[in-house]
Amino acid sequence: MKPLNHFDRIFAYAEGQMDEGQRTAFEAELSADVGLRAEYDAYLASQKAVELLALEELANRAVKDEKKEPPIIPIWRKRWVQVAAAAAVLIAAAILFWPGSRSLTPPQLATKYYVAPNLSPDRNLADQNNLERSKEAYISGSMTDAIRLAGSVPPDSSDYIEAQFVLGHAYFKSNQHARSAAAFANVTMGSDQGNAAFTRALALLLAGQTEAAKEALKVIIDKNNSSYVEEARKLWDDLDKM
Amino acid sequence: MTDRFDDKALLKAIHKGGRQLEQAMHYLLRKSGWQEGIGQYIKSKSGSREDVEDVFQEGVRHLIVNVRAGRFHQNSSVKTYLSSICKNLWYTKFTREVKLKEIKNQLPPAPEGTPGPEHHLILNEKKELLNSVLDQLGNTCKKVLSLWSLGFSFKEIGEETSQSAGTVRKQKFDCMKKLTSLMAARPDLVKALKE
Repeated sequence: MKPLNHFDRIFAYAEGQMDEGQRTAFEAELSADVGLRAEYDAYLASQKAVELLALEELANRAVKDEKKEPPIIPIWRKRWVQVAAAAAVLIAAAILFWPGSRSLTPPQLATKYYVAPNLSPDRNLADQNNLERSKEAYISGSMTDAIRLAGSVPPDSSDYIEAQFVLGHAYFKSNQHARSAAAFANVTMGSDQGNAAFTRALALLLAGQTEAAKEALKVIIDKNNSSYVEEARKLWDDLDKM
Repeated sequence: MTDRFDDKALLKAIHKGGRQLEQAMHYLLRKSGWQEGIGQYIKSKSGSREDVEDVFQEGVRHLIVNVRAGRFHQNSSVKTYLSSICKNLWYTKFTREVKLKEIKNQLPPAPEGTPGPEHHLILNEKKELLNSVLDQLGNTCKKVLSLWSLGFSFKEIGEETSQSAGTVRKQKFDCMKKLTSLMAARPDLVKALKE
């Protein structure tokens, strides 16, 4: 880091906290003082960097958006509306789960069947290892970072398969389901293989590739060597009702 | 929540920032139905389904940041502008992967006043360089600055970061100072971002 001599004034100028006279004086100084100009340029560059942070924040919020209820509107704070809404939810749930009447949409099926990964970052390696950093990012909810870090692990690395597993889940959470399925397809061995294969089927389903999802489920069921066989059968049955 | 936004309401919500911006983004991503039309274009230019997902989501994010930065001058509808961003994103991605060069000639002319691809994507070009600086900033600073940039109030940022509004206000200043200081130590990057 470089010590700054003019930051308070630069910040006040950029934030519109100066009056007209102060602004004019500052702008005159800006064109005459090389040191001030350099710090101001660094401030402008920082604003560009903050735009990049904003893009990443929007990506993370888009992920949360899928399951989140809309922002609070004042009317919903009224008691009678809350009671009515609760009743409506109960009725909807009763209809939804009534035997024989179940016909869930792909997002509902994904919510019903998705099994979150059990990621345990190795804290000792977290500073220098992109796989471990990607796990940290995933757990902290920063899917953009998780994708960037897991995606940077090269295919010839011993961490590659595990990184593809993290990548698949990070893409899944980011609603990039086709990419998620592609990443999970690379998880060809290891303890995560069962979860990867099953989540891949969900990703294909959400990507609109229902037949491919069914094929993926059929492979799990036919192989019959995974802890996800029963879940795969249930999901298959639900798909038949769609 | 508003089910439909016209352009005026969309732009107002994006400018307002915070929760209203979230509503606008929700509408763009899930309710507008605009992805389908843009997706048809991308698929017609050899794009895959995953390319459509990627490009549309990224396009919406760029739209929001551009609107907030005052780079959208309403010379076209929001849908046309977003479509232009997505096509440019796809064009850049496509050419970067060196699949075909002639697609450049197939791009329809952008509406008057619409910034070119380099304008939308300048951050992408410098992303790796910027990440080397941002990685030194710390997660709390990143969160505070990104939410502030998106128009969230100090109170709302405080709710998300479990801090008081007063603490967030001070953090915004301190984090921006730290970032500027990191940038000042990288004149090469400052110069690259000016170009």
